Amino acid sequence: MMKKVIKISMALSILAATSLTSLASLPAMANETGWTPTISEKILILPPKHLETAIEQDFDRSPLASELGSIEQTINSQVSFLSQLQSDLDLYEGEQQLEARHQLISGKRDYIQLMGEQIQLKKKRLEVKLAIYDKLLRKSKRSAYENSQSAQFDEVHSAVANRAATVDSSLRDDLFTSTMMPETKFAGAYAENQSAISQLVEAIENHPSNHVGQSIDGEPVSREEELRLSMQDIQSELAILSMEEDVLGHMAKLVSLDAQAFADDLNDFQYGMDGFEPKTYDSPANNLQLFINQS
Amino acid sequence: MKRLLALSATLFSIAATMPAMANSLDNLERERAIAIAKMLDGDISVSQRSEYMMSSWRRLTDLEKIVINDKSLKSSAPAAALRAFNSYELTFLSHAAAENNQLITQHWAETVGLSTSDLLVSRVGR
Repeated sequence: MMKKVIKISMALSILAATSLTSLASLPAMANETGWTPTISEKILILPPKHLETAIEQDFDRSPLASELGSIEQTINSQVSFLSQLQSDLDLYEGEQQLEARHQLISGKRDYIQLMGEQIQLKKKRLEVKLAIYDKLLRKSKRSAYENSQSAQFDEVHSAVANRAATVDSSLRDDLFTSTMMPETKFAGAYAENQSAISQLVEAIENHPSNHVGQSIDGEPVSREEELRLSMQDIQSELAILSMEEDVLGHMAKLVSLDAQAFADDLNDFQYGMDGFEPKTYDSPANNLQLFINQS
Repeated sequence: MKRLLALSATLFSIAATMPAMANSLDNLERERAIAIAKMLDGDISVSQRSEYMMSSWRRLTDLEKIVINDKSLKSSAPAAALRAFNSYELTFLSHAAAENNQLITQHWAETVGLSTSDLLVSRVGR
């Protein structure tokens, strides 16, 4: 039994000592679970909040989301196991405590590995999301260019329509009095519809949702700016993930030191039990006086 | 070969039965051209001209409104539409004349630079 514990502890010490270097190679270890977005560029017409939701819903349907969820569950059960073991550690003594400490170190190593894999998957998710936003931004820029082309037309057209509208009523009266004929069917329907459109336009102007939009310091934010802000959020999440990797690195270092201490304790247990002291043998120098005193 | 001929014949018959679609701007231009031709027609009497211009006025007013509200011009003929819009005084004769409280004839003549004094001093030439 003792030999087995010693063998395991040695293997564990080596594993824990190399855990710092293995963390760097986690991307290669992460399986090839991915997220291939199926949403179209049409989501660009959605308001920012709903656009984000649409992207997240698309992600939820991906194998990457399933993998992340499954790892999350494993991590949670691992954390419960480690917490329980750590709180019960004082209840054990002797060999049992050594076994418990061994399980704790081994569990911590598994936790770090799982967290590393999860961070890689989270990174993958954010990178795909960033690529989606980048694509949407390019599409938005193209649309903005096309819109600027049509804006010139709209401006001229609007000026013509407004100018014509100013004489619409007087023109109807003039036509009726001058020709003494009833207005055409088209003119009647046109006036009716024009009146309806005016009322509807007024209602649109007064609608509260017509004035709802993202703004910074009271200034309305363009579509491109909204997308850039979302991209900044994703980039900050990626930066946080990098910091989490550093945290994991430090955790791995601590596990490595724990494993080293555990190995020392194991040695003490095997070779230093019951206050065993190695025998010391007499030296001729200790008995020198026997030979010097001649009396 | 027979199949090809049959297909060509079918396509030809479909094309032949499809109406030639003129946009609203084309219709307005046509009506305007006819109205100006009548204005300048020396072979009709004053009352005939006046009678024609009254009915043309109604048609032009309707056609101008149709053009102003035609959203398809932006995609079908943007350049022609822009040119027409920028020449408001000559394109929308009825509306522009109403702005100046003038008849179409008077408004058109003034816009193209034909005043009564100009016409009085003019000579018939070959």
